This record gives sequence, structure tokens and C-alpha cells, in this order.
Amino acid sequence: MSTNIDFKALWQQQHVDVKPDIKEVIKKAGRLKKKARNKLLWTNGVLIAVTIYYILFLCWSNHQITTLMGGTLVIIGFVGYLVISNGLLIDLFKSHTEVDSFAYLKKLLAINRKQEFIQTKVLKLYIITLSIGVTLFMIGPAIKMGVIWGSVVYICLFAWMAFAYFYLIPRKIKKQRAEWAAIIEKLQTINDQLTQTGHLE
Amino acid sequence: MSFEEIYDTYYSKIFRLCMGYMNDHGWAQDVTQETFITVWQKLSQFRNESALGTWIYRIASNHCLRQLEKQSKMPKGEMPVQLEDKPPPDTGNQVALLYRCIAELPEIDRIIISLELEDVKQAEIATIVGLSETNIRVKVYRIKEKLSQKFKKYEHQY
Repeated sequence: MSTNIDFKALWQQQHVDVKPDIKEVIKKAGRLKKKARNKLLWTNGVLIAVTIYYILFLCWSNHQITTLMGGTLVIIGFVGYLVISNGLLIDLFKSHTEVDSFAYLKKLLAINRKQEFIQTKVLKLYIITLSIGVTLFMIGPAIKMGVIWGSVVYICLFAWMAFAYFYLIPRKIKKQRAEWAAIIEKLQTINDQLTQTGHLE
Repeated sequence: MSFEEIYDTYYSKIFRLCMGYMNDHGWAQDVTQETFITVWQKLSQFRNESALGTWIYRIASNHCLRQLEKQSKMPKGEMPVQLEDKPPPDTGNQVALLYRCIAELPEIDRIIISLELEDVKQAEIATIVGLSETNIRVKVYRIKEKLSQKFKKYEHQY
């Protein structure tokens, strides 16, 4: 059994594979970044297009007050969600890796908490705003459709909203909450390793 | 120093640091690549506020810490260059044992001892991790003690 172990000598003996061609790595990293950016642009593009459609539709001719109110609520929902989620994405894309580990962990914790908040509470608020907005927006067109078709439209609409609100969203939130909780707990543990070091001095 | 020179000088050092943190060849290579991609992206913004080595080690340490978050989101293998998943060559039981013992330490201790074994000055380690130099000195002493005990225990077992 060893008595005086030369850890430094052992450490240096670790086999290091041949370095990959860095130019190739950088090229592929660029492609990945472009792919992520395109996905983001596509999601935002769809939301922006729907918002513009609503604005044009509302401005085009005279509508019932309920249609105007509904359309406005939908637009507020879209814009609010875009602003909040994009603000977070900008933060995520910003690299904070140059600060010390202590500051970095704090930043990671803050981002994760914010992400958890958006994916749960803001998403719920967004769905509620959207649902009320669409319900109001459809009153005008439904009246024009007549009692039977108008009722069918509203039954389908409420069924879909109930399905999304009581099944789809809670399921998504539950899954994500478990993920965030695990990440936040782990980050907090590492952070504690640094904060509890104060007594060493 | 050009990026190519940095890559040649620091690749092995950063790889060992990542190995100390993860004790997994393929994963350590992925994180080493991530580190150099960040260095390449940020090199023009480096303002000599700290030594170049300190700056690179900071980026590498933070990429290591970030892995726990990515673990659940990004499956291993989505890195730019997917390296062959072949087993690492046999580098001797003692080397493997050392890296295994380090990987069992708490995350921050892994980073501190890896930097210490890489011959980074304690004052520099302090600025990389964000603790005082006194803290680092005490921590290094304790980690080494813990590491020796672990090492001897395993050595005795095998």
C-alpha cells in the first residue's frame, strides 16, 4: 500500500486522445447555433404573423365590441408571452462562463428559477388570457352562424380549452416542475459547498 | 497568443480538468470542445483583466458545472464533433483510481483539486472558483487528506 502518493505525477499520466480538428469543431458549432436560431425565429415568426393577422382583422372593418375585446386580449397574450419568453432566451443565450464559479452558479440558479416561473405560472396566465380572448372574439361570428352551428363551435371550443387547461398544461407543468426542482436542488447543493466555506477562514 | 496556440497549449490541461470532474473520457472530450468553442467565440473580448490561463480555466470550470443542468436536457452525443465512443486506453490502475477518487468528491472540491494538481497557483484557483485564497489553502489541504484516505482504501481493496 502506498504511503506517500504523488498525486501530481499520477494526474499528469492521464491519457489524452488526439485533439480533434478545431476548425471542424467550430464549423459544426456554427451550424448548431444557426439551427437553434432558426427554430427560435420560426416560433416567434408564427406568433408575430398571427398577431399581425389579428391587428389587421380588427382594423379592417367595424366589429362588435366583444370581437374587439377578444382580439385585443389575444394580442396582449401573444405579445406578453413573446416578450417574457424572449427576455429569458436572450439571458440563456448570453454566455456567463467567464465569471468565477460562485457568480456563475448564482446566475444559473436565477435563470433556472425564472425559467420555472415562465414555464408554469406565465404559461397558465397566457392560456387563460388566450381562452377568454378567443371566447369573446368568437361571439360575433357565432351569432352570424345561427343557434345550431354557433353552439357546435362553442362546444368544440370549450371542450378543447378544458382539455388543454385541465389535462395538457398540468401534465406538461408537472413534468417540467420535476425537472426544474431536480436541477435547482443540485445547483443549490453546489452553491452551498461554496457558501458554507466561509467558516474555514 | 493566437487561438491555435491556445488550443495546442491548453487542450490537455482542460481535458484533464474535465476528466477530474466527470471521470468519463467521451464526456470530458465533449466538454473540452465546448470550452474551446466558448474561448474561440470570446477571445476577441478578452481584456487581460486576468491571466489568459485563469480565464480559460474559469470557462472550463463553469462548463463542467453546467453539465448537471444539461444532463437531463441534452442527451450525450449532440456535441459538434461526435467522437468515437471507444473505451479509453489502459493508463494504469493508479491513474484510473486517482480519477475515480476525485470524481467521487463534491463538485467544487473536484474543480479545486484538479486545478491544484494541474499546478495552478492557489491565488489563481481562488479567482477561478470565487473563494478567498485562505479558503482555498484550507480546502486543498482537506481535499488532499480525503483523497489520500480514499485512494488507500481502494488500493487496499483491489
